[in-house]
Amino acid sequence: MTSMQTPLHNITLPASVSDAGVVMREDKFRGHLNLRGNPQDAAFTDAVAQVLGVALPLAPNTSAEQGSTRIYWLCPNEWLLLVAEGTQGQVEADLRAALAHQHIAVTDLSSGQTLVNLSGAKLDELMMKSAVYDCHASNFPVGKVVQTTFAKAGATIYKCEDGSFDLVIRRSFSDYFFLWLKDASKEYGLSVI
Amino acid sequence: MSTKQDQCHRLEQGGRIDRSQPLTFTWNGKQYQGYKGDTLASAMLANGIKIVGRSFKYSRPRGIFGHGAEEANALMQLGVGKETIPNPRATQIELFDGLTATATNGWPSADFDLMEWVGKIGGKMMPPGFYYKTFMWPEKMWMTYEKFIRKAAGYGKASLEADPDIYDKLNRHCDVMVVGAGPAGLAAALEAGRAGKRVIIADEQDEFGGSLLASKQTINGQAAAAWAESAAAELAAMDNVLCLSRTTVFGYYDHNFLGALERRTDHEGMTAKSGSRQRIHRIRAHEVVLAAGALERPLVFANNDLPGVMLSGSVATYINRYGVVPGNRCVVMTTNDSGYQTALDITAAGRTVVAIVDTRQQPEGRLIEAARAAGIVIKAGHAVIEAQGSKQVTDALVAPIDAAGEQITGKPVSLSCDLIAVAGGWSPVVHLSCHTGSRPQWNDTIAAFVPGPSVQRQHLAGAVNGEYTTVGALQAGAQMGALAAGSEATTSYDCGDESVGLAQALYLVPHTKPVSRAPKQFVDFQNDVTAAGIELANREGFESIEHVKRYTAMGFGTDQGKTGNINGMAITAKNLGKTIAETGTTIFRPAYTPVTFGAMGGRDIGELLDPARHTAMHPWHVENGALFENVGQWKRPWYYPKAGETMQQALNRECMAVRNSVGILDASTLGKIDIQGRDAREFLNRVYTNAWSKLAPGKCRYGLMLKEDGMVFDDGVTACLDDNHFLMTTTSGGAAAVLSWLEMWHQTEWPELEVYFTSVTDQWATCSFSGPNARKVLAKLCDDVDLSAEAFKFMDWRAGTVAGVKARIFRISFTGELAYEVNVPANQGLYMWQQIVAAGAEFGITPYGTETMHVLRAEKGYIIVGQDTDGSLTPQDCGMHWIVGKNKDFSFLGKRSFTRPDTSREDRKHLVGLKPKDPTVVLPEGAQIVPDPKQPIPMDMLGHVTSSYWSECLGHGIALATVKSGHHKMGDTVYCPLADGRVLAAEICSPVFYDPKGERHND
Repeated sequence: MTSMQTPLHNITLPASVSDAGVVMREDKFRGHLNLRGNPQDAAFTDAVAQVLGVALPLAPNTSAEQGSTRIYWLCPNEWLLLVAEGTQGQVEADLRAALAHQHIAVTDLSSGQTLVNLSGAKLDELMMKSAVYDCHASNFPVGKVVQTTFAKAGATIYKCEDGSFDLVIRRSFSDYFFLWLKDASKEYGLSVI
Repeated sequence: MSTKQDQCHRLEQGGRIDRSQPLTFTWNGKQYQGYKGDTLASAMLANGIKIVGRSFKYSRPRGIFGHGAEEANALMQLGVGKETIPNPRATQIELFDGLTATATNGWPSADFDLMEWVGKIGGKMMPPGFYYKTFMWPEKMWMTYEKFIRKAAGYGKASLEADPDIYDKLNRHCDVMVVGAGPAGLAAALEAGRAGKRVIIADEQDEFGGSLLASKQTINGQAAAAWAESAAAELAAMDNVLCLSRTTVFGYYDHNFLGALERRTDHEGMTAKSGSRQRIHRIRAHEVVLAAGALERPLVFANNDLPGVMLSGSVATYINRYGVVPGNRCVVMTTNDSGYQTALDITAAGRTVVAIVDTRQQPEGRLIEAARAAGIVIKAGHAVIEAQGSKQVTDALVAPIDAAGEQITGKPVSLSCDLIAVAGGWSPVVHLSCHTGSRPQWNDTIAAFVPGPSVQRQHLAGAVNGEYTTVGALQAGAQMGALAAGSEATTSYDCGDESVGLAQALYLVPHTKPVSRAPKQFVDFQNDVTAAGIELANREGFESIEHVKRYTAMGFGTDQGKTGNINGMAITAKNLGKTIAETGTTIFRPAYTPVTFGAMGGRDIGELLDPARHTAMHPWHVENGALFENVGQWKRPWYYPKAGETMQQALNRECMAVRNSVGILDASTLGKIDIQGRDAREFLNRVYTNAWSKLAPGKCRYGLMLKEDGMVFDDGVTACLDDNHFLMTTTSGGAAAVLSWLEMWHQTEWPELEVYFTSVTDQWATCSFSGPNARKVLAKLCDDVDLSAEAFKFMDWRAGTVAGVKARIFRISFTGELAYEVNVPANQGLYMWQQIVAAGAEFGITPYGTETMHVLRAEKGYIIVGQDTDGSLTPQDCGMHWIVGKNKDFSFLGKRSFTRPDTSREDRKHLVGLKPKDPTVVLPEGAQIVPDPKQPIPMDMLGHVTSSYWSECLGHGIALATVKSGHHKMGDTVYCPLADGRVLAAEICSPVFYDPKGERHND
């Protein structure tokens, strides 16, 4: 739809470089749903698992993935559901139906934030420049989710199977995020794909 | 002229310099040569440069004194123009080709300084506590003193131009952080690295090895420097070990957090060719091994600041590491065995040791015998009591002293020399340990402070802990490295015989004259603090060492008293009849050595200093010429000037467009909180002053939020989306605080309420358009909502389709006009804005910013929380009694405070309108309000102007103000006396200036 613009539509791309040390890819228009509910209540967890096809991760800072659906643990009663583009409305409706009369909240945040993938040979150093959290493999295994900062913007950081990081960045901070990224990766070269 | 001739003090061979790589440098306008591997200091000494600067207060000539971080004299003005760097120590500047340095002071030059004469005559005018004394009396003389002080004071100058370099920071994490790469640090890192731990080892020098680089010892049969090289190579080859050379750990903070400054390119030139010049590593470590070593202490004797007086260990370092002998005829004064090693090194370098002057009565042992065997004269039980010479040392006055080191016991003799090497013992570098709050402890055996107990995961190894032998440092390092890694040490070390005799604790060397009459005996070179000055301070009643420090300025310099402080404390202790342990130390604070502001700023500068938050429509605002205002971190359009318009003209145009037709505002920045749960309504009842029980789906209501003290904290409109689902809006700047507030009350006080809060501020983009033609604009874009005034009333909301996009339409108004706020998911925010602007074109739809919004709402008397309120106004003070619920089942936050006597009194400051008597006047915001401007000062103060604007549609200035008892003073005249002498009169009136019945927004 031409009327849609991602949070990162306003950025000025850097000059393209060969063998860039840092590569950024925005996972545009992914569905983002915030889910609240009681993890001790089997009626809640079962119904969610039924709708999503995958159980909610209950251990702190963990995630679950099934097909195009990924779930981040955010706090003991809060999760971020990342679903395929355009399906968030249906997923929200399905959850509301399955969880009717339960104390839950489902909130569509698909326009309020975006998912950005960072990879590249200089990723480790870039993360050290940008995040105070220890992103070393020994502390940040695949599938871990951490809510921290990226420079001075809040970020939810997830380690992907291939060693790259997925970051959830709020829309209003995305211009600042990209300015920082461009600056921090200047010495390594940045490629936006 | 050949290089060799130039470098008159350079040895033919030896040292770690590369004689095949000569480098040219300029000092005070004259060219010299040094070698790759030199520091600026070693190259200056090689070239026979004696005077490197002038002292702070007395303008005395000063020379290079140390060889590292302890150097107090050799502060340089490095480079010129925008690249210039003030006050680095020559001892820590690696020489590069083309380096340019000048003395930081000295007028007209460091060699010939007129201020010296002022210093000689005027020294008595600047006793300790001089500043404080001039502050006190006579007051009018301060301006005169200040000119004199400014001329005399200070060292290097910072450039006024922008720094051409960039700086950055890295966040590091490790299992074991090793500070210092001397024998102890290397041994520790080797053990931790071999155990597979994530290790960081940092050292301030260009290569690892520390004291080993200037040592003639062997380690397990290998030359010390060679062992250091192989250890460094082994560490560098480990993937789990990060080796940071040229990196000073300058601060050690709570929870094993350390700051380290890496000088990445300073050794290559003035500016970095690419990347950052310096980098701060912000290190979080599980375990820290401090192996920071020790600094040599000078002795305090008369004229001990003359160029040619140097630390003994530094002389040895210049010889062994840099192949430079700083003098040809040397007197060594020592209180311990380490001076003997220096004397042997000087002899080995082919220069003359005139005598070893040992303050101990009967020194014995390995090194003493070696010196005797080398034919060196040893004068035991003697001290150098005075250095003699005008601009450099020419003689040392040597006298016998008693065993306590307090009395001269015989006639002094003069020894001709050009170098006095002073070995006064060692001070462990306790700084980092002390940064964490740990107080150092005095150790009588080594006559020095060592780090005290720490609450952190900190381990000490080597000289920092008073272990001065190389083998002791290596073994302690290995042990602590293994301990930190949770492993067993893998290596043991043998360095041969390192036995030494007992050192004497001596600080102030006696003179034939009393301290107050003897030639100056310097304690702190950088601030010209003398033993006599400390004595005077003590006599004037300054007994706490912290007071002595501040009164005399001891330890205030860029060297932070690394060499002087212990001597000053010892002198104070002696004057007060206390022990040094009782006297204690001043507090050691970061940074260990100065850190450039550039590095501290890193990349958080310019547009990266603080995040600028943008709405989805931001690019449109930029393209359409908006000027922006900061609201919290948001960039909001302030106003949209057209070519040739003044700000006021633009505001008048924007205001009149809204009043007469239609204007559009980006309201996306308002905080939005999605509230779900069957107790959502009850929760709103408790946090807002008014009642929410009966608000039906499809309806909106304005709410005021109070803190417990009953004062207004935030406001906004909340819509009922569904019975158990609400959308709260907050002020743009208050969004995060409100969400925290709600969560706090829910989580700590009312966890039984079933309600969830989620921030949706960024999810929704909000186009707010208002004016008599607003409905016509909306009608062009929306055909699935009945927009008639009867069906879609003021304070209603409807779900509908606008320009093909599913939207929430709120009929709410902050302008007093008919207004709609169309909310769409922010991905479609820009599109929606463009559609509304296009649809409104036929009505001249006018974008307006926050300034016009402020004018329009002030005409209606609507408050802005944080502008008209300041946390001291109740709803009643604001004239908003109507919004305070009287009959709610449960209390609400702030209600109880209404009955407090101070909150309920009638003469509080009230929010009122002010109409200037002169209609052309706009009262300045912040202006004070008085009842009678003719009253003598101090006048009665009634309050102040909180908001004030020119109202184009009313044709006069309007203002909101807080005025004592203002609600009871309607029609009274009050006055605003201004700083420029004008007095503006105004009449107290209702804050609602425009459409008081609200007919326009209800239309």
